[in-house]
Amino acid sequence: MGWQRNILRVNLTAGTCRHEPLNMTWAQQYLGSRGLATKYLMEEIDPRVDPLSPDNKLIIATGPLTGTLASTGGRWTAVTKGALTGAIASSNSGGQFGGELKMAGYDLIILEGRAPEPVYLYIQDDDAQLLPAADLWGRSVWEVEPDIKHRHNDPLIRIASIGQAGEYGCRYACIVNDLHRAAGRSGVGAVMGSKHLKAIAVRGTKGVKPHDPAKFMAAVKVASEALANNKGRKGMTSDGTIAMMDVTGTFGALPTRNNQAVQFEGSDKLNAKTMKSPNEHGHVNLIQNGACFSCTIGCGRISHVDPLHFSVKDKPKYQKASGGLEYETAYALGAAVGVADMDAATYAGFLCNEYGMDPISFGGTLAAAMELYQVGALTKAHTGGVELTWGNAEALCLLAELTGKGEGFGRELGLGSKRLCEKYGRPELSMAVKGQEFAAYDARAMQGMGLGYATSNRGACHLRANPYASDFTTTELKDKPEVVRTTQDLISAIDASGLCLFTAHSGATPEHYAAQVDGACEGGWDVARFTETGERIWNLERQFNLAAGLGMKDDTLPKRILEEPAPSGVAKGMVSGLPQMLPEYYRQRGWTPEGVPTPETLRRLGLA
Amino acid sequence: MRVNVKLIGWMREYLADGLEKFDDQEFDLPAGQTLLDLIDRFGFRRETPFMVMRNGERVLESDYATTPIADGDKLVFVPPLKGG
Repeated sequence: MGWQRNILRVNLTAGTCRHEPLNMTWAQQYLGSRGLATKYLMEEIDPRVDPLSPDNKLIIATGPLTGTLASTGGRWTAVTKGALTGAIASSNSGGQFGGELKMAGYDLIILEGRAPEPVYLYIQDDDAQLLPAADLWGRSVWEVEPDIKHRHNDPLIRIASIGQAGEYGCRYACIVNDLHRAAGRSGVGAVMGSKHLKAIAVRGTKGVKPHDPAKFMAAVKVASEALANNKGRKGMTSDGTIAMMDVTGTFGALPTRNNQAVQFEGSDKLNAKTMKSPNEHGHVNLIQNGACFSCTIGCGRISHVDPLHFSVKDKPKYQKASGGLEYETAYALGAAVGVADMDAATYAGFLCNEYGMDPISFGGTLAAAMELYQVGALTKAHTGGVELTWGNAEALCLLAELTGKGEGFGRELGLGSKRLCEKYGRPELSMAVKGQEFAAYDARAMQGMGLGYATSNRGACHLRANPYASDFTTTELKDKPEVVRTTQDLISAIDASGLCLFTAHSGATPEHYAAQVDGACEGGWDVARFTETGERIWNLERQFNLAAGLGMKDDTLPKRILEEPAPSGVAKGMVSGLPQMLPEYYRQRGWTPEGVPTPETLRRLGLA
Repeated sequence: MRVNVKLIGWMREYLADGLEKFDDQEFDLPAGQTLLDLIDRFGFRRETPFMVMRNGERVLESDYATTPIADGDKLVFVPPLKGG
């Protein structure tokens, strides 16, 4: 079946949990996870609601391939109206939680309203109940997970929770599962916190039945073999995503000091080689790789900080192994703020997991704060005496803690760069789109990425399109609209399936995806249907955003990226060609010149 | 002449069989070599896209045959990495 045909509807205001049949018409149209949850959200909330009000809903969604033997079949998505952006938020996570939820028998959990007192949701197969969480509220993810397992006497429970950041409403608070995996972006954790829901704990023993097991396993075998033999996959296993640091650093696409530069003189201290080599004390940051549910790639990093490093010297808790740096975090807690210190970045990354906040947005916000400090818009009087100088590793580590807890200047950083820069009179210093901070790729050097940032439905995002091969080959604009559009559609479908996007970076083809979906789900799935489903999801998200008040005016990039030339690297002297690319992108999408899907496009996709 | 060759990420996996795996090494080369000569020597297959930077500037594939290598050049080979 793939789908469990069952959703859990949780009314937090009333304190009730009810099973409900999955809308199978919508499942056939939107497949699952990101796509299916967006459809439910679109039908059930007014897109103009305040994201932190009880009228917003938070949907925890799995795909039909989640919980199966398909390689990487473990992903889940948190879908809501984003606290950071006011746009559709669709945050994808790995780990073990998604597989467990699906095996408990659920395609989606729909969370509505607001609990009068903090609660957590405890699910054991069919049984679901809301339990008091007063003694969990105010504590970190790292304390809450073992506590919940202990009180239910079950170490196999899988947990998704918020830390203090989600509780106080840090705009980029995230939902953390399995201690160091996360539904990271757009403030989905703040939405969960606004509902007074501390955690979702699940134990599932039912398993997942594919529609045609023999056909499914044959497709899984083909896809898995492709991954096994692929050089990209092998690189992911051995280095994780941190291998990208040398690429963008060499190329000149590594945003440095709030995108003031595109290469970082300290990037050697943040790369794969440094992660795997002994430092001056003989300490090696990387211990081993880590994998999610049903994953044969294993790109996760398990690392530990040098016990002699200032950040952990008197803190044994932080000397243990935990989720290490991937590329985005190494950028955000490194180049973005000018800090060339792998231990500091690793420690600050641990805090982001522990307190539950998005390191990309935290680093991007701190970078904006450092530039505000550089130009005198912020002073030590504002920061509680902290010197926000570029490269100040002590400030990075202290402020990660304060922001996680919402204390002192950390509370201000919790606003995100857009609100922070507006507050201090320099809105142009926020390097973000729709309020969401850039990822670790500079849009002047990578033109397709720039178009992807501007048109991503959830704000600046490096995962919504797949422009990498094109951007590392050429800075010419001509083909970027097609590259961005077609990969946005394919990725929407991959996200909806429950598989991990990194299969696409490791040898998976559209045929592999379609064949596995066709084996797992009834209804007849081929590549054309798979990618059309993705296009439908993309347009549905666009409709949500338009109804929420976002549109063409928000499909833009910061002034720096449009007007200040890249100072070095392959794209030295270039700015983003977004004004040339955007009209062609809209045209190819079948949207009006104002970026609105035409009636004909909506009819074709069944969205009219 | 002596050049420095850096292979990023898993570029060394693309080296021809029998060649020693390295990632950052000095090489002594006879004078008069082009970039294409070096690429052929390493056995990098052109159907696997990669990128070459020479002294910080990218060299387009169409220019490999006509780009001379000079003493002291720093060459960086970058594999087709995709992001996350």
